[in-house]
Amino acid sequence: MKKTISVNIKGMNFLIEEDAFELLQNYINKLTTVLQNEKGGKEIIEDVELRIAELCGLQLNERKQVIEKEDIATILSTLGDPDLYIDESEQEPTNHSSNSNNTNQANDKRLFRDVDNAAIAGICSGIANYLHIDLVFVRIIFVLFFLVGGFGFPLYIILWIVIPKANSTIDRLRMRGKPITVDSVREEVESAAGRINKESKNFANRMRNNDNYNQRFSRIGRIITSIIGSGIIAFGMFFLVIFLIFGVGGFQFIPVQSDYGFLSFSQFGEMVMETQSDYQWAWIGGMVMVSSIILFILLLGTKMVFRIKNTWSKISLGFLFFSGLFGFIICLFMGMKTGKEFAIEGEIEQEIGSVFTEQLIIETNSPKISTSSTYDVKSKGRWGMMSIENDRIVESGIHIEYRQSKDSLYHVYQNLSAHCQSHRKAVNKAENIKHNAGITGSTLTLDSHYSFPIDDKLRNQDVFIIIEFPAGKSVKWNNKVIYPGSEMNSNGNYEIDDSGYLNSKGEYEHWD
Amino acid sequence: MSLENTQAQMRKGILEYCILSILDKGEAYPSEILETLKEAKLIVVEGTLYPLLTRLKNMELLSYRWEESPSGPPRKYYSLTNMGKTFLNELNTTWSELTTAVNQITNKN
Repeated sequence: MKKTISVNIKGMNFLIEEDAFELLQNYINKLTTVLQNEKGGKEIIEDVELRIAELCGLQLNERKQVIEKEDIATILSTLGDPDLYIDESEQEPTNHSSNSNNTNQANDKRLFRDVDNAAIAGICSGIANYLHIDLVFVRIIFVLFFLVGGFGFPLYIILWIVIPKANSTIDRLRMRGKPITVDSVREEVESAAGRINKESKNFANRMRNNDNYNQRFSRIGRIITSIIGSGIIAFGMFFLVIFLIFGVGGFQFIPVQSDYGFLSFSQFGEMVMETQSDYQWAWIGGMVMVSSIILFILLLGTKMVFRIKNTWSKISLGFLFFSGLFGFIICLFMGMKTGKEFAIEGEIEQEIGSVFTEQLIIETNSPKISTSSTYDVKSKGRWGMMSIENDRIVESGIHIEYRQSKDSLYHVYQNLSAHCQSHRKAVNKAENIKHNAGITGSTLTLDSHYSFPIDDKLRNQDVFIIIEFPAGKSVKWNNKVIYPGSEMNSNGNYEIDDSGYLNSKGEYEHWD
Repeated sequence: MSLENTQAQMRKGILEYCILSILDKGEAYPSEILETLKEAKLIVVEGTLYPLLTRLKNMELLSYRWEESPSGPPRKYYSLTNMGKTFLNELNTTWSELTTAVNQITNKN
């Protein structure tokens, strides 16, 4: 008992045994491969199918209703080996010629995307083919890459762009590192009979309309590309909005107590950059860089969603890349120039006073800064708030350091420091710092804030108050008494590493 | 270079000429042509015929028309075009020249 299939050959219906059908199918597939590059190949196959139908018909009579394997074998031997179909008188021999030991392209193994075994774009299956390892293994590794750190995703996208798709039988053989001979081509074709058959039928269409082909083979890939593209566009839009608000719109978000309320990014930039032109250059560089990046992202997303493949879009992407780089270089240059402004520290130290007393009492002033701002800025943490009053930048937060006094007096020093590109300029800026501190009786009065001219720019201006105190004595901060600890070092001097900080609210924090 | 190979080469060379000659007598479909060629032992496997027919047709020496068959699939009836007839006449001349030449040479021994 054998299973039979109903087959339609050129409009004729036959009942054919399953193995007979397979034999026939193989023959047609071989023929398709052999005639792949032949002119009129399709027509020849059609003629052969007609002849097969005719010969099959001749095999049947009233008693014999089914085509058997032997019948097909006879028919095929009458027709002859597919290699004989090559019309040698016309064509110069190609790779498909009867020279089946032609292995000049053997072992030319290449990495292709295996779209036939693809989950997304055939990258994992391509790699599995290339390395001769199990596909599941490669996929697991990719999923792990994706989960751990998430760099599997960009990696996959890059590989997708870089690795070509295995389009032809030759590509598929190269992908598996098999030698390209007529036999191996045939084998490959047989193993994927349906696929090749379909492809050869659509060959002409494919040539005419490449898009159709892509559509058919990477539909999933296309959908995913569209989704990623939309994501990229959304990302770009988000950046664009941020850029418009903070960069162009001058939204004031840097919390500063001033007559203007908050500061915008560009106002802040002006306070840091040395000259107006420096700031303008940095501004231009930043604008070029950020707008290039945003346009690049938007164009890339659009390209992915609408599958734009023209050269214009590529040139644009390239141009945006370089303009972005150009803007970045300007910014980098200005950043370095500004960075130099912070290179050298200059400091001045002056004695506020010396006093003999049992305990130094410290009173702090932290005046409420008058501002017309409607924002109620609350400062948290030890870093004080910056404010602007009468063309002076006011910062708060004073560092306190304790040292052992060499005599029985309390000595208080004020140390002002600033940074600039030269020591002289840095000292100049340090001198411009105004910080109120004074001793009356046994009381030291300290402001928790200090100010400097806005034209001096932000140059890391800082104020230290150094308190030298006699051994065993203490310092009283608004009801809090501090006994700075002391240790004798190897030189017989006392070394004190205690310090403290006076924050913007005028509260003292002791660090030991 | 085996004997079969040489024989096949010789047959192949004159196959075209023979096909045109067969069709000169009237239109025929491939199976008929095959029958004649097989009888004359000019062809061993049928597969060699189809590429030739297609090429001759593409050279516009042959044309064909479809005809329904009572017992089998539709048949492609081939016939000579005017160009094919001229072509065949040329070949006839060449062939008689060739046979004379071959006879002359082979009979000398």
